[in-house]
Amino acid sequence: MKNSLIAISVAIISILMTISCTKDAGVVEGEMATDAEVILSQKLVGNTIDNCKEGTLLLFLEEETIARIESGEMEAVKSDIFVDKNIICFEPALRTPKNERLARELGLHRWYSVTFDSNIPVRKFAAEVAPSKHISAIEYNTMVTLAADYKVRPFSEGSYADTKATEISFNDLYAHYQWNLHNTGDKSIAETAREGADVGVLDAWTLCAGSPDVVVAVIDGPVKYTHPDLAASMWVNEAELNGVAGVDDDGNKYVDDIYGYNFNTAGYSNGQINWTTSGESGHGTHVAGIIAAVNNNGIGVSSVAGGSGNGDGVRIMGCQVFDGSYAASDRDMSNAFIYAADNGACIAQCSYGYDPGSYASDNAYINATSLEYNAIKYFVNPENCNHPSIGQNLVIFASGNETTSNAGYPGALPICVSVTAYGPDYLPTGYTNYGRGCNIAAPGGDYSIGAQNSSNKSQILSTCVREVAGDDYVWMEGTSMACPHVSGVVALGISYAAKIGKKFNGDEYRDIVLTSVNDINSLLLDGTKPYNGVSNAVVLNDYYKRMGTGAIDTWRLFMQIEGTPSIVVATGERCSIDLAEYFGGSATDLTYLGVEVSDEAKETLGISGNPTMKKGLLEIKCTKNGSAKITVSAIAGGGQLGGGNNIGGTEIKREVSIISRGVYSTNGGWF
Amino acid sequence: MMALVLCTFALLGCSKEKAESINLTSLVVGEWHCAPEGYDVDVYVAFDTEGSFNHYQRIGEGRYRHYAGTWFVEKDILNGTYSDGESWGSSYQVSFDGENMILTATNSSEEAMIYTKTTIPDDVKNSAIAPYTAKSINDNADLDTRWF
Repeated sequence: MKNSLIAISVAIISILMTISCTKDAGVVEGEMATDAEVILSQKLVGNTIDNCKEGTLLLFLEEETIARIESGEMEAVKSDIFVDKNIICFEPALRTPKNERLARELGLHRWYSVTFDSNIPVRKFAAEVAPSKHISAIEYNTMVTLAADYKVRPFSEGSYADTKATEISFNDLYAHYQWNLHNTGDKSIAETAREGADVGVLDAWTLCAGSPDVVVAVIDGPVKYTHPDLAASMWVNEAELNGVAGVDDDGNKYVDDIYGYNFNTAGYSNGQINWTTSGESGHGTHVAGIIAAVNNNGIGVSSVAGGSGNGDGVRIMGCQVFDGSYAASDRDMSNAFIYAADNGACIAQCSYGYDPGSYASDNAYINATSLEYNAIKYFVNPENCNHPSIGQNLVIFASGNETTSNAGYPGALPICVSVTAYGPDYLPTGYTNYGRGCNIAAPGGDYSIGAQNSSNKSQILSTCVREVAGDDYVWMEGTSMACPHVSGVVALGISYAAKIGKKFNGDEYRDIVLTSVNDINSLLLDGTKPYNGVSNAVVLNDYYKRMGTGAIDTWRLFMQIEGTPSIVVATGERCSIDLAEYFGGSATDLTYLGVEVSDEAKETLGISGNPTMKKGLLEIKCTKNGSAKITVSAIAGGGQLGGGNNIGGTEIKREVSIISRGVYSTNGGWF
Repeated sequence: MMALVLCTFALLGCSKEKAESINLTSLVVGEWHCAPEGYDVDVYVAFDTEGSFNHYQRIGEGRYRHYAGTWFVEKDILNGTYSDGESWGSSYQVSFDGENMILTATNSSEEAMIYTKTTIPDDVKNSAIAPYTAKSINDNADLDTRWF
C-alpha cells in the first residue's frame, strides 16, 4: 500500500511537470495570455476554491526556478513571476525541514507561498500568474475545520446525582464520571449504558501508564499549557525555556517554541500559543486532556496515558493551527506536521478534516492538497520515526461528524488512522461518520442517549480553558473526542513496548493497533437508537461492519505487544481457524486480501495448496507436524482498499504462527 | 449356578476395572508440565481430585492462556471437556514412567506427550489470561463446518 501511494505521488509530480513544460512554452513573462483561465485550470491541483484562504496562494515551482532561488536570484524570480504586482510576501511555504533529503524527494522544497492584497479575488490573481514558466502547479490554500460540534457543556461538580461510571484506581477527583476509560454500565450515565463500553485501560495501567519519551503532537486549537491538569504533561523545549525571549535559541526556525508553536497565519498570535482569541472553544485543550491529563494528582480527570502520578505520563506537544475563529490553511497544517516530525513527536493527533463530501477519492484529495499530503508523508516516513520501539510515526484523525458513510480527508487516506465514535452504549453515535476510510472506533460521547436531566454525563469529560468555558473541565462530544482516545492508547502501547523491550518495524505497530479491538458488529444486526431528539434516528444495521475493525482495547494491545500465540491445527485435517488473537474480536467480519505462505513453510507444514480465508476463517490443511509462519492480509475499514480513485480501508498484515500437531481443539486448547 | 458364577466373575471384573481407574485417577491428580521437543510450547496442567482441571499454555509468543474444565479417567483413558463445552481434541491413554506421565492420543495421530510432575509457578498462574476468540460470527459463516 505504501508503495502504491508513493507511486501516486510520483505520478502526480510527473503530470504537473509535464503540464508546465507543454503549456508554458512560448508564454512571455508578464504577458497575460488570453487563455490564462485555461492554463490556470490545467495548473491547478484540485479545484476547491471554496473555503480557500483569501490573499494567498500556494505555488509549486519548477526545479530550475528553485535552483535559481537557491543560487541567490530570488528577486529576479519574483520579478519574473509577479512582474509589477504588489506582493506582500513570497517565501517557502514550509520552514526548512530537518530531513532535507526527504523533503526534496517529496517535493516539499518546491512549494512557495505568495501573499497579496486580500481584496484581489484569489482566482483572478491565480489566473494572472498561472502562465509563468516558473510555476508548475497552483494550489488554493484551503481552510479546514475541526471535527467537533462546538457545543461545550460546562462541568460543575455537584450538579449531578451520584455517579459510579467507573472504578478507576487513580485519585483524580472526577474520575468516576469517565465511563470512556472504564464503563460499569451505570444507568445514571444512560439507560442503555453497557458495561465494558470503554477503551479497556484499567488493567493495562497496572502494567504501564505512560512514558515521557512518547510525544503526541496535538494538531488542533491551542493546548492551554498552564492548565493545572496538563502543565506537567507538556512537552518542553528546554533550549527555548532556558533561552532568550524573542530568540530562536535551538535554531529550529521557530522563536520561543517552548511548548510547541502556533502555526495559524490567519490570526495575529505571531507564533505564540494563544487560548484567549475570540471564538476559542477549548477544543485542543479538551483533546489533550483525554490523552494525557495528569493521572493520580488528586484533581480533575484521569486520562488514557497520563502516567501514574510520578511524572511518567506521555507528553503533549502543542501544535496550534486553529486560533479562535481563525481557521487553518493547508500551509498551517503542513508546517505543523513538519514541526512535529522534526521536534520529536511520534504521534500526530488530528481532530479536524475536510467535509467528507469534499473529496471523492484519495487521488482527488491528493491532487487538491498536495502540500499537506506530502507533509503527512514526511511525518510518517520511517526516516523520521521518533521512537525506537516503532518503525514509523502514526497519524490519527477523527472521521468527522456529518453522519456520512465515509471518512473525511485526510483521515480517509490509508497512511492515516481514521476514528469513528461510539457512546456509553457501545453503539455508533448519531453524528459519527462511518464506512469507507474509517479504521477503528473509540468513545466519542453521545448526548442524545444521556439519562434524563443529566445528559451531559454521556459525553466525554476533559480539560478545558477556564477563560473561555468558565471552568477547567467541560463535557464535549464528537469524533474529535474519539480520536484522542486512540492517540492515547497508541501512545500508551508505545510506552509499554519500550518498557518490555519490544520493537516493531514498518507498519507492524499500526497493524497491531488496528487489530487490538473488541467486536461491536454483533450489536449492530438490528435496532435503532436516538439522535438529536429523534428516537429512531440511528438505524444500527447501517453501521454493520462500517465502524472500522472494532472498538480499540488497550489491554488487547498490550497483550499483542507482549506477543501473539501460535495457532494450533490438526495434521492431516482441513481446519477452519478463528484468527481473533491476530485480527481482533471482529476477525470473522473482516474482508481478507489473501494468505502468503513461503515455499519453506509449505515444505515444513506439508501444505500442497495455498491456504485461504473463507467466511472470515483461515482454511488450512497441513500434512506434516511442525511449525512455521504465514502472512494474512486484511482490510482495516470496509470492504475495499483506499488508494487511487478509491476511498477505502488500509491494508493490514499479520504474521501468523502455525503449529501442526496430531491433536486439535477448536477453542485452541492444548488437550 | 453357572450363571451365578459368570455374574460373580463379571462383577469382580467390573470392580477390578473400577479399582484400576480409581488408582489411575489418583496418579493423574496433581500438577504437570509439558514442553515437547521441537515445538515452541509450554504447558502446565493441574488435575484436582474433584475432577476439575486448569491448564496454562504458552504456544509461541505472549502470555500463558488459561483453560479450565472437567476430566475423568475410564479404564486407562483420560477424557476431558473444556468449560466452554468443547471436548478435548482427543482422549489419551495414560501410562507412567517413573515421575513422568505419558499421554498418548487415542486418535489416529497416536501423538505422545510426556508430562513431568511439577508445581505450577505462581507467576504462570497469576499472569495467565483467557484465550481470545471472535465475539461475533458473521451470520453467513457456517459454524458447523469448522472441521472438514
